[in-house]
Amino acid sequence: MLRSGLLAVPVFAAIVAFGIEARGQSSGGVEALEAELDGLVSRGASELAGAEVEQARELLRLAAAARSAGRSETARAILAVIPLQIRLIRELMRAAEAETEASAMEARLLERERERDVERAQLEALLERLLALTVVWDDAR
Amino acid sequence: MTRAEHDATVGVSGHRVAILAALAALSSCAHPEAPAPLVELRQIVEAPSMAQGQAAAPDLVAESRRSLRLAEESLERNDAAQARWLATLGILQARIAVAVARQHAAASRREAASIALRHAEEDLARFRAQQTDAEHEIQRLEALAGGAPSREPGSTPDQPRRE
Repeated sequence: MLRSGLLAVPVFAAIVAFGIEARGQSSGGVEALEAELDGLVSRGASELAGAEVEQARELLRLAAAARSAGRSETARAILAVIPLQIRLIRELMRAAEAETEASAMEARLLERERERDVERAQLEALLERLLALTVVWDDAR
Repeated sequence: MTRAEHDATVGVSGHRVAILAALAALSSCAHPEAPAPLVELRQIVEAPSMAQGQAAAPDLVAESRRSLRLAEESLERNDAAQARWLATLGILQARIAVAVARQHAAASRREAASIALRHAEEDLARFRAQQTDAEHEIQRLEALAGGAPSREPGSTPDQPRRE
């Protein structure tokens, strides 16, 4: 999907018009973005957003290839969009983490509610016994 | 062949064919086929998840819609490559918005569960305290019942506490 579109040079102007930060314009851009992506992978990005990580790696490969072929404009266009792809990975990771936390809290709630229901049943049994004893005591008097 | 001869040979039907061919060519220029990312972006923008994205990240949704509009304009100019690229950008923007919406939804779930958990723990503590009180009362009554009630005249047994 991306490969054919990425080779269109005029799109760079459109990207810049969007105000998207055109990172990676220096010669070390690919390496810096690779390092950023590696950092996310080390924090579990591949497990939480595997397809997006692969897409980012593909973009990096395309950018490096374009740069090697002397197509600097194309390389810059590709590198300009990678931060957006990395942001997507980051937001997907945050979403997955937030959902895990929410599920953990819900599981804790479920456990407490079960415990509460057991305690309530025990209390009801005790109160019934107390009532019975009170009746016996009153009768005995 | 002279012009007059040609006209006589081709006749009206030849002109019709030429006009139809020209119209077909114009038609294909006016409506080029949308690239796959643009088709995908159109669907994403209309999806219910975008409504959640709108609430969570309105700026990103606005950018995504702008990308869609520019991609459509590029397609109208027969610049399919730019349309594809812009649509790809729009898809990324939309997907980020949806991911942010997922975070917000998860935070709401967590907050709701946290409040319910606090209430459940308060109930639990109250039930346990009431159980302790009830157990003490039962022990007291059982002790009284075991040791009494001889009820000698004039005696006044301890009265059980009432809730």
